[in-house]
Amino acid sequence: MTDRALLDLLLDDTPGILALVVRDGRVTRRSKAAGELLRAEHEQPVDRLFDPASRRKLAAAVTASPTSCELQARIADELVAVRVALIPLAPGEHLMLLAQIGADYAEAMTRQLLAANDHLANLTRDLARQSAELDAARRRFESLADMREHFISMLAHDVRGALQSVLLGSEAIERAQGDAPEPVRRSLERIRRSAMRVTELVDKVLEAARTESGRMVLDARPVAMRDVVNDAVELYGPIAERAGLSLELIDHAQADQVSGDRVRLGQVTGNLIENAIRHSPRNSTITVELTSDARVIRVAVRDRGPGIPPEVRERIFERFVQGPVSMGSLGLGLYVAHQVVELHHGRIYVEDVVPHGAALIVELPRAAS
Amino acid sequence: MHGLPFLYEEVVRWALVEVGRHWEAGSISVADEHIATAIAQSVLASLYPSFPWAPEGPKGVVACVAGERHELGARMAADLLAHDGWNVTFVGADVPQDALVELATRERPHFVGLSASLPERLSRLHETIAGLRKAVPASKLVVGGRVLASIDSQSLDVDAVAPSASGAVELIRRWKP
Repeated sequence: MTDRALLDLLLDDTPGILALVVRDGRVTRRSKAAGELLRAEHEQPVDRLFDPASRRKLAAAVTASPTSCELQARIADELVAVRVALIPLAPGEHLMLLAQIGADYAEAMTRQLLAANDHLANLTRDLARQSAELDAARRRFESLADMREHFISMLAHDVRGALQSVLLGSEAIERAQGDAPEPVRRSLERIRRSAMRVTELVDKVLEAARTESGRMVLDARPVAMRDVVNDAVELYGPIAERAGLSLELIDHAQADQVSGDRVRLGQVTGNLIENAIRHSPRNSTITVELTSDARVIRVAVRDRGPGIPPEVRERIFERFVQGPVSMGSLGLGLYVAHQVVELHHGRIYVEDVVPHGAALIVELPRAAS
Repeated sequence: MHGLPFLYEEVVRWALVEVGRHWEAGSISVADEHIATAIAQSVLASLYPSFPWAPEGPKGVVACVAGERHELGARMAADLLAHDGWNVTFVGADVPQDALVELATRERPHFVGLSASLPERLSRLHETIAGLRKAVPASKLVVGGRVLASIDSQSLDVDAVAPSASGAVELIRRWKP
């Protein structure tokens, strides 16, 4: 059946149907019922069939067609609510189907509205109750974190105490022995170095626990990153040298001021250099580069090691995750660095170094000048 | 009685009884009654954000049986139980039996409260009770609602029959772990 044949069927052979064809705002065809009930005349402006308050709604509906809307029609000099469907036939031409809205429709709408009201009350209840559940879970989590931090602090304190005794003891033996044989002196030196190494590890675990429990408090003030980087390079230069590496500072920064905690930022730079030292082959160079742009101050630490595979780049800032070659670290340095950088509203990420190696880059927002 | 129980039992409940009386006397229409109920729902809902929820409390589930659309009484019971220290999930009106059994199986609540108003819901009530008994035999079952006025409650395979919302609180309190 063609569209026109369907239209003819609707308008001429469907008794009781309220249907109009409207072109450019005027009635061009009408069903028998529409002619009788709405008194729609040929060439009459269609908006005259409706209450003035409905005319703007009709004009909007025509541009949005196909659509349906509720309008107030004039039927036998009375205003009657009708549902109107508008179906485009051709540019500027619409088929308009009208149906009177009866009491059943209003009742159905009221029922829907009341059901929606009940539903809303249920949703409000569920949301409020689940929010209380989340709060309780957060409190439980916080108290667990407190307990864990307390436990780690106590353990760290005791372990440090015991290590201190080991250090003092080994020094006392060294003094008492005077010119002890070489193997004994070497053993004492190994004991001392091991005790110091374990003390450092304990400090790092404590630091990580503090960071994670949100206890790290920044002493934020203006900081010159040039000073921070210089200090770190100076501190780690001899350590790198002992590992057979050279540490080189490249300074291209126009600006170097950030707002932050100088000690923590020094710790971040130090952790990045330490990480590079651990992953560098002997006789290679580690570069520490300071740059800036309009938004950020950037510190990049580059090594010539094996690099960091793309699949672990997101994870190396998690706790206890080490690079591809474990060199006896706990995997906490980059985790702490990440936490500190986040607290400074900065970001830390990894890039490749060509032909091989990794660059760990920290960006910190520039302080407002 | 004071605080929330007072508001629920002495204000909202009696307001609804009064609305029902007006409807019976023919002085208000059924539409007016529905609107009054909707207003009461909204009043209760406005309290929820600051309600003293008991998220750590033992779990309970309250629901209206399939087909039952009168939910305000069950909601009030669920809220008063929450106020009494239970962590109560209120599932609402017209809860399909399968969905309720699935929820109870997942949540393993200490109790499930079922509400029904009209005698036509009785067969559904029996079926739901049987379904829950099989799925969660450890959960206590309690029934409330106007349907109790028209049946012999002894015929129900439940652990308690609640005469009112606050009566439900008293009964269910005995089951607290």
